[in-house]
Amino acid sequence: MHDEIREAFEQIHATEQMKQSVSEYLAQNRRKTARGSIRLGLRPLVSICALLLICIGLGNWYFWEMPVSYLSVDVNPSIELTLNRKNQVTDVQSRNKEGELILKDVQLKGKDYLEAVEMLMECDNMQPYLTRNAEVTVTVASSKAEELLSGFASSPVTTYYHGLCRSMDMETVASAHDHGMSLGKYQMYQLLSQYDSGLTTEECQNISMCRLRELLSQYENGREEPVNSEELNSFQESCNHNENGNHHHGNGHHRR
Amino acid sequence: MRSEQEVEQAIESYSDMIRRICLLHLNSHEDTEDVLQEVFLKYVLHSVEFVSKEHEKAWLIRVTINACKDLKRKLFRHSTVPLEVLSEEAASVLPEQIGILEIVLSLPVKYKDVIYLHYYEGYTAKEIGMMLHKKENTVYSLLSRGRELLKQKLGGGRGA
Repeated sequence: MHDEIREAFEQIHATEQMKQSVSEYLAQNRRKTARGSIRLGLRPLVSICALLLICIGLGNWYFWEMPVSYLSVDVNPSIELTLNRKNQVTDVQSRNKEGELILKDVQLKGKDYLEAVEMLMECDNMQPYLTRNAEVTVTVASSKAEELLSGFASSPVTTYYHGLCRSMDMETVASAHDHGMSLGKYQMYQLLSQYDSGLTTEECQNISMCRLRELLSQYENGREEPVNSEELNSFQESCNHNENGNHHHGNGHHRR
Repeated sequence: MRSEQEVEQAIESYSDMIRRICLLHLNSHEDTEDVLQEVFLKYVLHSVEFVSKEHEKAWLIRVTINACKDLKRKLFRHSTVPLEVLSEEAASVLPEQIGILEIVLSLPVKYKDVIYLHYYEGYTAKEIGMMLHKKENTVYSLLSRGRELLKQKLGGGRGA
């Protein structure tokens, strides 16, 4: 029986096809392993490159895009500029309909803030608003507000257009934005609401800066009664309707 | 990882043995090919050096038997169908020997490995016990019972 079993099993062999298929399978497996090793070797390099790209992206955003300062120009058109670390304009927003018209004609992104404000003042669509009584108000919210405001000392904004340049806390910027108001108008609303608690941000939004200034002046000079609806309607007329479009001249001044 | 030359040499030396063990457990050439591939892949990846050729052979037997059992479990294979498997061998095996193989393959699974390892590979009960992780006495019992069954099936007239 021993020999019979041995002889019977002796006849059983792996076919050449079986051996071939094993060799091919192992070769394929070796190639996969080799590719895997290459991938494994490249992994740290890919990680470093990805990290580098993220750093470059963040650095780029930090220097060129990150909002560092906000600046609003209010006449009646209300326009707000967002500035980067280099005091260049990264975003421009109009805060009322008049502002929208102005921005149709000027490209301010990438400009230095002084140049951008001058371009705004000099554009054709702005001229009808720059009457003798117009209040050009530039409001700056920034951790370096002093530096930005000092730039306006010799700017036509103050020397020619009689502009008021003021600063505002960065913390107040969010509140102004929540109400859809420019920094300058919101600051004016805050001052007026100390005298007339019934005055709303929506009402202020529709009144030109010169009218708001006029109203504030009345309160500062002793007015006590709140603004009535008739007055509000009359305030909503722009200053230039009464002033025949005469541009105002004179020395600018700073106020904090 | 073992060198390509080393692996080719092992394929040449042990493919027949693995094929025979597969014959005891599996019922198709495809399954045998799967086990061959799996066993030699394990061989390629097995980093421990074998102390001798005998050690290497015993390792391959153990791995092959386990691979066959795993494959059967995985594929929910039923018990082997010897006639079907052997029909593929009919061209190369003498009819008389086909009969012997049929009888061995018809034994219950627990006897087939020990019968093959003892009668074909020439291992002692002690060596088979170490290889299959069974007690020597258990292997003796399996060999004895398997031998009895074989005798009965072969007609009882032939000695072991």
